[in-house]
Amino acid sequence: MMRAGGVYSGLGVLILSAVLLSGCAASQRQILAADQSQVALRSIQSRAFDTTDKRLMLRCVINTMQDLDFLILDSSLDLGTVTGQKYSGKVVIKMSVTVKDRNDKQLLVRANLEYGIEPVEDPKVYQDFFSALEKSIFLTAQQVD
Amino acid sequence: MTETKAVVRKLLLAATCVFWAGCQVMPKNLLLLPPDYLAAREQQMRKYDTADEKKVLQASAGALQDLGFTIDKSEADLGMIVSSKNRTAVNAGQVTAAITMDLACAMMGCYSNAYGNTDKEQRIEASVLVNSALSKDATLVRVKFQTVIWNAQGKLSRFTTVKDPKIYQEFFDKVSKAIFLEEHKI
Repeated sequence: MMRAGGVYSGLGVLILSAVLLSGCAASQRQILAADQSQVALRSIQSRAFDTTDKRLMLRCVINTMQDLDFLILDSSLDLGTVTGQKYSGKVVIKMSVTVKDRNDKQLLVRANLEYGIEPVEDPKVYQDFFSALEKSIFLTAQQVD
Repeated sequence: MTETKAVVRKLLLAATCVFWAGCQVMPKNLLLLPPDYLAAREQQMRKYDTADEKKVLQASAGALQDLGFTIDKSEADLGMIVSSKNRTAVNAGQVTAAITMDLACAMMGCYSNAYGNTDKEQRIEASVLVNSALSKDATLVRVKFQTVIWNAQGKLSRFTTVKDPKIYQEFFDKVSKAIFLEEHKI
């Protein structure tokens, strides 16, 4: 009798912990994991530019995000970041862009985008952003006259 | 027999439709420049003949406050000001039409919640970016007004960019007055 009770309670604990832990693992995994390999994703989201003017680059980024109808939520020159948000239908689209020195001649711009509760990993979307950013840089340069 | 098959096929089709509707397809053009972005820039940007970026930034903040906005964030190093105001979006005509429709529906014995979809609250966001021109003899100001509207159920109803030229002109007029300089179009 005693033994059978022990087995049952043991099983109970096992099932309970399995249920609890599996829930934990699934939500915890989301904190660090990206759906694609980190390296591939980084190259899709990044672009190097031949300038070292971080301030000007950040202003071009803000202008581009405004061109793309983003509400600017936050920006920081020290950290080199800009964060914005817009809506597509009822879905919230959040975007952050970081600008940092790549070497003594180049800056690295990295963008990442979230669509609702999904990360955006489609290379075409990021290509569109960088081509918009290039246009914005061109327009800024044109205002020299 | 053929009739049952047809019914089964229809049911399958309906089930597939329901499943497809559940899966939200991510649009491909999330970050594609809108075709009218240059016209929008022209409306949102002005140039002032001064190199004093800080003065223009302060004048912009003052203009936003004059227009009833509260400053949410500012980053003077980048020349960025983010501000907003919350206002009602209730439109009497829209509400009356919705209630009439709901009542008519109730009398006919069906359920309708048109009232729930009427506009209730809006947040108007204004983001300002003050840039010195590369030539260093002028300062560029860009302001963008956007509105987010929620319905009576508290759900997001619409997100739009304000296109009325009068609103932009009023902002630039206020900045001009504060710094005693006429603005130029880009």
